[in-house]
Amino acid sequence: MLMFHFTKPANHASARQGLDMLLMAVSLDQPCCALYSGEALEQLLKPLSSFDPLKKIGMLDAVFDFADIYVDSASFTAMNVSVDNFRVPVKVIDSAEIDRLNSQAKHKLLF
Amino acid sequence: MANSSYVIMLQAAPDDYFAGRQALQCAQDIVSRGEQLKQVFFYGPAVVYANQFLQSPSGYPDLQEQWRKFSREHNIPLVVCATVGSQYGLESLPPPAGNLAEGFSAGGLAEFIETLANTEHLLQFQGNAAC
Repeated sequence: MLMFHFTKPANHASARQGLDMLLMAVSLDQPCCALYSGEALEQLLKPLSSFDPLKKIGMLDAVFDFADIYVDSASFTAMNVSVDNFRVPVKVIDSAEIDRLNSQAKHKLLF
Repeated sequence: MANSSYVIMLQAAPDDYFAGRQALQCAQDIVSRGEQLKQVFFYGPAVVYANQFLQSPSGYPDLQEQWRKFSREHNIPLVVCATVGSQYGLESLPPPAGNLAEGFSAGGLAEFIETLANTEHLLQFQGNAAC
């Protein structure tokens, strides 16, 4: 399993580049998961303007039925948002679950 | 003895000398141990390594040339992401049609993912700019 761990804010080029790689991996039917923590939760928020460099994030769910999108519960609490604020369905998981994902990952890609 | 296989992904721009040097040293170490380095993949700001017009800052070693030399000596592919490369002004053809430096090849994310899926270890070098 390829684990994509996003940690950068939405306006960081790494966010877009990581998303492109995740989309390619999913399109190739590679087992994947995506974890968002810290400032990267911004990437999941519904856009407030028409300028949306991460628009393709919607393809994960809409095109590929990709459901393995996880959000770190500590970051989620700190951001004080609801899952309804996110543009794709996510699973909020705690540190034990994150450890479990880490242990299952063949490769971890940090963006 | 079964050898481990590796892929290196470099994301640090060439002006982040220490990240580039660290990645190159790591690549050299892998080869010197007799292990398999399948590919060095240049992604994000590191795509600039593949620009033939790249010049090192005064006083710094030429890492682009050092990567080329390493690739030649050990037959390790230096693959640059063509899509991201185009966003950094890289025309993915050798001169005169483009500005792809000798020793580099332009590839896609699909190629990288497929290589990665069949490799035991990924080593990622993000550098200061991407961290």
